[in-house]
Amino acid sequence: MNKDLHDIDDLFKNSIDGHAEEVPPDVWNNIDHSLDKKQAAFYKRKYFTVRAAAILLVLIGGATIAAILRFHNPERRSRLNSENAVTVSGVNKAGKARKNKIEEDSFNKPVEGKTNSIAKNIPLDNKETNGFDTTGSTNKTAIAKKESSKKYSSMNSRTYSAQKNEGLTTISHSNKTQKQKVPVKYKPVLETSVDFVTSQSNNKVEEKKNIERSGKIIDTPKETKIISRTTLFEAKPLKENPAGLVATLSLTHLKSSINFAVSSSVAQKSRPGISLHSWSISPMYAQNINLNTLKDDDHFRDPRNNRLEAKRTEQRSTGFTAGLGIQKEIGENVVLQTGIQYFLSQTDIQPKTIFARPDDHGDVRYQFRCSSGDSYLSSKTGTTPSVGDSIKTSYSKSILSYLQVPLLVSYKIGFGRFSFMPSAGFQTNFLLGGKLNSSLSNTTGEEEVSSSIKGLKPMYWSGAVQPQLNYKLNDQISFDFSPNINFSLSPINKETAVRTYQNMLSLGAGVRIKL
Amino acid sequence: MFTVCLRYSNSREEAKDLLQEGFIKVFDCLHQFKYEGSFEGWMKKVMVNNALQKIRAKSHLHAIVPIEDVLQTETVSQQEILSRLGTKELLQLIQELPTVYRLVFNLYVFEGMKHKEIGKLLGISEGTSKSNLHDARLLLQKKLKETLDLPDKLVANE
Repeated sequence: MNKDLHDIDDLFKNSIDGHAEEVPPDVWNNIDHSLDKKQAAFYKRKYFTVRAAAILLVLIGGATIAAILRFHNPERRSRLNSENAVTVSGVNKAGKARKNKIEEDSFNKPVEGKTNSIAKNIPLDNKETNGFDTTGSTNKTAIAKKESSKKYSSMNSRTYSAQKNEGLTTISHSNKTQKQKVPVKYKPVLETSVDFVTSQSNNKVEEKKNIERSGKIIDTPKETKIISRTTLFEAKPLKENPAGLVATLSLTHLKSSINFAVSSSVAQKSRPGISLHSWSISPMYAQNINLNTLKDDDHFRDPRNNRLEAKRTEQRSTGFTAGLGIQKEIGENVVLQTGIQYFLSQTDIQPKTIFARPDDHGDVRYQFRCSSGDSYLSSKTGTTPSVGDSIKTSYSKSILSYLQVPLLVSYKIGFGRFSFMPSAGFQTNFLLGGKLNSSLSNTTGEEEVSSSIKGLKPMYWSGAVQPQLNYKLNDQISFDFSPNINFSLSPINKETAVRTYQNMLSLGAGVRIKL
Repeated sequence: MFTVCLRYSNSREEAKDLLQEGFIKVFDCLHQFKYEGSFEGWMKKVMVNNALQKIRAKSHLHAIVPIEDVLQTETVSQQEILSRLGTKELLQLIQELPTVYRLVFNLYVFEGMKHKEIGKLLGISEGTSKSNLHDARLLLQKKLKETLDLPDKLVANE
């Protein structure tokens, strides 16, 4: 080998190192244009993301508000139920539905007052009617009887006793020319408040009830207020009957009224007009396998701690998610899901050599770089390291914990007790903490040290896809099973050698309790 | 910085591209500068990393160039060489080196890196790095001899 070869190094270094070459002007122009384009692209991309998120939020919010207004508007509820009742109560002249026929038959039969009668049949033809039939017997209404036996079984004993307590009430006809008071076998309305039922059971109401032709009660303000909100029947006059009139309630009225009475018994305790029947909660747990995507920071790529290094040393990453989900049915088959979840991720890191360097405060500590971020470790037993000193780690583990708030939309496809609910949405992940546990190998042996991980973003977005399978145990309880796919929409860290997109594949289970 | 780019490139045009991309990265990563050293040094590091990334993406780093051993019969001082060759000519000699030789020579001589670090950075072994550096020096000797038109005498002691 030529012994003077090393002098070539000095020759080139000394002559070139301090040399300044003039930069061609077109380079600056190109840099200027490129920066403008890059900046424009950045803002465009950022604006697009924000705009998409805003539109999604507005749509979801709008749908929620619309659903709430639709299903909690008492007037609309009454109107819808009234319309349904008209259809079911035999006005269907085509008579195709067997149920309607039965109903119609029952309407045409006079109602005999019996103590266990509960239905008030709505008359079919009110054009020729001047009064109410008081002799009809609802026992002859097969469907009503059947429905009543079903529904009454779910009512509380207080209401039921009131139902059985047959009282007489005076129903005033709204026709001014033929205003009359006739005693009718009046059955307390199921959906009315407990006050009403109670008062009837005490025989305090039966004499003073005035019902307009439209069916609205116009006196006893306290009861009127309650009944006008909850009573769904229209006491239309039946065919003229010398024996009197009977206030009837259609089957549909009865069903809807009972349903509403059940729900309102809960709602009235807290807030009138708000029903929780479409809400459910679900404690859940999911076991996760992390499938993180790593990307190099091209600008500050450290060859010793780049993506490949992280991939090589971090091959096992698991975790779990536990929390409470909240579901709201916003349509017949559409369910909006949210909740709050705790997410823990653990990544095992293989032995590696780390080097000392100044941390953010200028203290020289061993810098441990992993895919989550940088951590600075200091040995408690050893001496303070100098910049460039190295130490070996025998075992390390990075632990990240997040608080997740998901927002998913599900579409329910039922198969008997089972239902398939494909869900999609996004999650907001708030960082709770990032910690690195490591075992340093020094002259005195192994030493367990722990330190926080720097460079983690306080929040990141992720998308979620959950093909849920739901098994309905009963009306109140059902079980959820779902493989979940979570994919990070933004990196979990910044200003680190490796940018990590936290993706997960998990298998979860939960119990859904309908409120 | 343009000189740095010239050292790592094989032509002036490529150096201009490297400079342009390097400056854009500097602007992009300006927030990552932590005031722990000189800004010039940080910029130089960005430029070098950018150049390495681009060159590695474009060409493989395994060049085998037959090099005839240069006979040393007479020595020439650095002053004599520098009096006859300008910095641009010396830069051109570096640019004419095969890619892997150029990278190893630059990283060793100008960036002060060790062979182990160079090997890891370029994905070659430490021995290969040493061999490449030796070959790069021989090639530069040969090119200097040809440029100076000095038969059988070359770089020497001062």
